[in-house]
Amino acid sequence: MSWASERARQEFLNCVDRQLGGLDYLERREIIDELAIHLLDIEERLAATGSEGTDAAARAIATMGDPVRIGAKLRDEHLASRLMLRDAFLTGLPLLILGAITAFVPVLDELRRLWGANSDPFQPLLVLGAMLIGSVWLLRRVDHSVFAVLTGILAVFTLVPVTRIVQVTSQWPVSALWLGLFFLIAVPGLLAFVVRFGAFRTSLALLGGVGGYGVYAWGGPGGHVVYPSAEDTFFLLGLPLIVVPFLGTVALSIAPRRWLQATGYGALLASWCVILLFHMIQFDARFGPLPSPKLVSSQSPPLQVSEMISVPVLIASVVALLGIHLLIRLQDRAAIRSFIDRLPVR
Amino acid sequence: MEAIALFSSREPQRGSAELLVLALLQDRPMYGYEIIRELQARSEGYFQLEEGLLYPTLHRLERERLARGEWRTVGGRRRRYYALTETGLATLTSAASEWQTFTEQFLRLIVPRRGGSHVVGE
Repeated sequence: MSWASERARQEFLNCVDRQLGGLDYLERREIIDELAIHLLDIEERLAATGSEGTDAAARAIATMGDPVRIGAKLRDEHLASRLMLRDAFLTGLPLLILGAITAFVPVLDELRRLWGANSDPFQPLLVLGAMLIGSVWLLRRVDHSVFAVLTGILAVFTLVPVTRIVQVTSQWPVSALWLGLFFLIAVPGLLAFVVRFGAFRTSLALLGGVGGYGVYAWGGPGGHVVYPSAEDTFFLLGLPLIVVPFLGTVALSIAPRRWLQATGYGALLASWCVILLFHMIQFDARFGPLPSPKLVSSQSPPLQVSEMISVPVLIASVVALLGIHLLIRLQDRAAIRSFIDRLPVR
Repeated sequence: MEAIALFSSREPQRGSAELLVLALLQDRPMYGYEIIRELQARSEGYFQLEEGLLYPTLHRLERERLARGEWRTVGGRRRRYYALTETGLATLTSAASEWQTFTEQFLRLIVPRRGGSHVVGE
């Protein structure tokens, strides 16, 4: 290829590149590489038919079309996925906030306990912030599905039993390691889940995970009220709270028909309400005269923050679930409109 | 027969270009230039296009998980190959059925009837 044709091609690619504002470097480079190879292919075909040099380059560029338009359309496509992600987050925001309240408060309590009760309360927040930044950094570099799988493994096999271990043993290196893993892998995992399975299903999985965590956090740290045994707690509360929504959401995500998904969502929603109701009864039972809960020590320790806010959180959970369900219905309506737009009938 | 411009505002039916691309990807994973050549060859030049505008379409199909892109090095040249996904195949199947029904019904109505047409003078 001559210098002139190389320059013409580069000008075309630069023009496309200038339209790609808002995209990160890697995205832009891949787009430009793809177009550059296409241009080379056209030039080679033209060369094979006798057209060479600047003439071939000019004809190749003409075949490609308007670089401004191509760049603008590519930018729209790539930014559209980010807008979709933003919408997904907005849809799932109520439950994400609930997740923050029900899971992060116990985690903060736990971290403060590890650092000592008199430690700076902002220290755990700084650590969590650093972990969150690390999570986002990892998410940008590893395939989303890897994190989705890791989240599932963490949610089912790690979160509950390890939380229990953390609470019982108080061995700080183990605790710190698992809490670190939780934030470093589970947070981007949840983000990936939103991208892959949508906000609603992610929210259910999230609520399952944090609900289970909340149950265990209430049951253990600092020698507060506990359920008869760790096994009882796991099978009575932890298992349905985590496994049912998690497996349910995964199963629904692969359901082949929309009506099946809709029915499944309804069933899942109903089962969640039952579980939450059961949870609330358990909560009431803990502070009433019922026999199942018992005190580990004779002293009555003060309530933790997570315990004091639990009833409003549970009520808000039901309200938020209904809100999410409504939003999904609205989204479905938009999806139906989009489907009709795609039909050949105008 | 006048050629049809795909990937542009002159495209007669919105979404038809995406379906054509998905249909081509049924056979094997292809890269952009290969898709263009295949489309032109199979349509005998009926479908014309600004080749650069194929890429926003491919990236949209990828975003909607109807196709999956992957970089491969073949013959010393690194290219991005696009393959049809299960969702893409389901969408294509459903759309093909819709188009078939629509076309049949549409043609049944619009084909002029010889001898039976009721016309008045101008």
